Amino acid sequence: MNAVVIRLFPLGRLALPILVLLHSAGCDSKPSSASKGETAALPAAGAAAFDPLAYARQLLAEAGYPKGKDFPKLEILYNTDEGHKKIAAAIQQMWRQNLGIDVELRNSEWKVYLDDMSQLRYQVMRRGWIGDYRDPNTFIEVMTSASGNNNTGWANADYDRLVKEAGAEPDRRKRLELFRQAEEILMRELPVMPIYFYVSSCAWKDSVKGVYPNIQDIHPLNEAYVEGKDTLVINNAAEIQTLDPALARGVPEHRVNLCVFEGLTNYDPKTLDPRPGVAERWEISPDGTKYTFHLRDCAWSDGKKVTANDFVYAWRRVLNPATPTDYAHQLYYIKGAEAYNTKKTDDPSTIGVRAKDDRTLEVELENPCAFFLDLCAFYTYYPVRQDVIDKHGTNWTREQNFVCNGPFKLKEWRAAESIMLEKNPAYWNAERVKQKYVKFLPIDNRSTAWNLYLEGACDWVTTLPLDQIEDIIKRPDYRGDTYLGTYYYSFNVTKGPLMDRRIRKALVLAIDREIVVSKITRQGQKPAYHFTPPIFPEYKSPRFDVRD
Amino acid sequence: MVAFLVRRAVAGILTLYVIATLCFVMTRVAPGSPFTTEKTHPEIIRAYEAYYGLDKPVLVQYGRTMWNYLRGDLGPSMFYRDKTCNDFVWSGLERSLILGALSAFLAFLLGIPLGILASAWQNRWPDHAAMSVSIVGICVPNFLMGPLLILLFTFVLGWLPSAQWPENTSWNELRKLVMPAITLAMVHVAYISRLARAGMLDVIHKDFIRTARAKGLPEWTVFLKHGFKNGVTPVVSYAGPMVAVLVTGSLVVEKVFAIPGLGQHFVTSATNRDMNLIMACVLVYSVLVILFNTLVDAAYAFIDPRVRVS
Repeated sequence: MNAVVIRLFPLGRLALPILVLLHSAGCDSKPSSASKGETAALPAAGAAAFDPLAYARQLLAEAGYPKGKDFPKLEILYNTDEGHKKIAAAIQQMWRQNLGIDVELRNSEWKVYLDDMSQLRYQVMRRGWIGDYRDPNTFIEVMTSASGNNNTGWANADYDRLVKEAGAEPDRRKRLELFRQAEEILMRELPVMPIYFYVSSCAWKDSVKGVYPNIQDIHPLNEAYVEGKDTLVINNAAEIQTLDPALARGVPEHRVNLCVFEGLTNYDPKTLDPRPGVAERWEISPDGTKYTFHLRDCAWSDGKKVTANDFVYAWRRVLNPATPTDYAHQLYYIKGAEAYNTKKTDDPSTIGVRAKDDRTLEVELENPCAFFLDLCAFYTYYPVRQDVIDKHGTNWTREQNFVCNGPFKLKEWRAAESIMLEKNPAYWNAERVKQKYVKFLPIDNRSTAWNLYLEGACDWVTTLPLDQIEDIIKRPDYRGDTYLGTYYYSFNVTKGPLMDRRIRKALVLAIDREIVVSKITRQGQKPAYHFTPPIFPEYKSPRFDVRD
Repeated sequence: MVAFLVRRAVAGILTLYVIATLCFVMTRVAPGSPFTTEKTHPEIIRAYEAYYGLDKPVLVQYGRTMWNYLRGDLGPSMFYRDKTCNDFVWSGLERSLILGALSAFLAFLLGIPLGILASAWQNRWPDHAAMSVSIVGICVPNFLMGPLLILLFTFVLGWLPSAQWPENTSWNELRKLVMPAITLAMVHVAYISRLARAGMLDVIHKDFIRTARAKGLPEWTVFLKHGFKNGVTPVVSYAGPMVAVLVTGSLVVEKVFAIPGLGQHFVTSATNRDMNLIMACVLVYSVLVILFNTLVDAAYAFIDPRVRVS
């Protein structure tokens, strides 16, 4: 590492701060960057080993800015946060040192940052993306031109076409190949600059059983329990915005929803593979576009039977354009869903979901969808009760009105204080539910939550105090795992020098990601040399650190 | 007295109306929307706006908001979709009132005796000791005080739980309030003791005190009966805003001790752009400030007959 550091950061006035930073983090003892990471950069056949930095300088010179001469000042935008700030400062230093480009940092408060992002009022900005399901599509789709989450101004017809073709491709291998080609375009064009892949980091006591670290950090509590205690206390780290599965959109909401509802399928706690939930079995048509679900004989928490119509109602409700929800697009795989949601028709019966009888649900998809059974376990697909919602309106999620079909039901919800769930005896698999009560706390101060955990007042914390992280990750009850997310920067490709692909590539190559993960984030994050996290079986992303 | 209270009530309502209007304008002008996230499309934001009536002309929104306030309805929270502002404000205010009252009590209980002590032994060691305590109270911010107390009482001594609101009224649960109350009170203990000291020192050099001493009254009677009543007036004028601040909660103390009070909503509602909740918090806070200031002005009349409520 010594050699690398000296090369990247020759001693000088500007280099001092980062050298101090590196030194205080004990960089001398770390192994060389070439010896770790996924795989070293692949040298082109017969050519000399690829030197990203030399190539970056060469590209910058080709684009008309040798050694960064006359390069207009760049601005990095990030939302106000210590962690983001450190990374932005490191990138600023690296670009200045390696390319001679002057960079300014601008931080803004979250909502202003989001406005600037959607209006493209930025040059370079910090981003992050957490996948919603276990398929590369959840990442690749983000950068299509129609995606509302692209926010770079970048549009590529070939990319859009490949993603569309992949969506319609029933053969898994061919489909992944289409994704690979699409990501190859993305990694050549580089409207995004991957930095690292997230890790989930949380801690639960050894007395908590039946819970397993996994890539989405999703933990169904159907069979989980804490030894010797009636109540399993989990810090959810935020007050949930809603208990209504149609309106939910975040991780804290997901945790609670997962306890009180169940979809057609549910998640295996170890692998997250879909298992029979409300549907005890299903048939899939040979072309992969028709699913027939056979519902088991099971009941809501108030004793009424769960019927196929509950699903039809719930899905139509999500897709109703008048329902204010962020996640209707999760249902677009269903035939006619997008058309109804985007007001191309106002007839909900055109949506491809029908109740053949009380216990049979037929679903027709636009295209074969490899992960549809996964989606059926996702909260946007949960059933809800029309009579309850019609009667109580937005008050239907209050404890006295709430009706659910999951392993737990709502006992008490104290605003900003706690959510208490109790075992739902009406749940079809209640005999396997071992925990009597589950309590979710909304404590967002990481140190406070950690104190409660150390004290024993909390069995499970979903966030950890970053100032103590180096000690915590050495503990046996620290549960960290690869996570389905990418921390990246995006470029506004619509103006200035960033319109030039070579300049973007030079900027992307001039960053030492090993330093970011080993000196700044320090929780075992993996440096990212492509956009899609390397956790989808059989899918290998093309990397950007190659010669064009 | 009645005329005074009526006048203050009318002025208070007018003040509230102006505050509500200003606040309404500021929430609409501020950049950012309560509905944006990293994953939200513009069409979805329009659906949200239609749902919460934000697609209507601003004057219509304003009229509706004011009409709802008259009916005691603070409106739905725009961020917490299942809850109304009433849900958050009243339960939060209840907690903050309890904790705030406790800290205010603590602040008086410690602050006034410290101040009197210091003035009685002016420039001698009790004075220096009391004023040192006060300097510490002023200098150590509560985001440091809280964690220091936790370190000491929870992790070194093991006497007190580190955080959370009591579940019931047993001592085991109620002791959770000890550290937050001390943390909240410390800075006020400091100010009150300094104000009491200064007030007492001012008074004990007055003629009527000399007269009292000349009559041969015992020193403690001079001090506590004649001096105290007059010396403590600066504390009373400080007490009004102090109590208003204490009972509306403190973001820092609520965060450090996981207290579900009102203070956190002031900040989180603003960062969430939860327009209704921002307004609800500001209005409740304004009502309390107006209320306590009125009470303090009325209290003057009782303490000092020279002050007429007019």
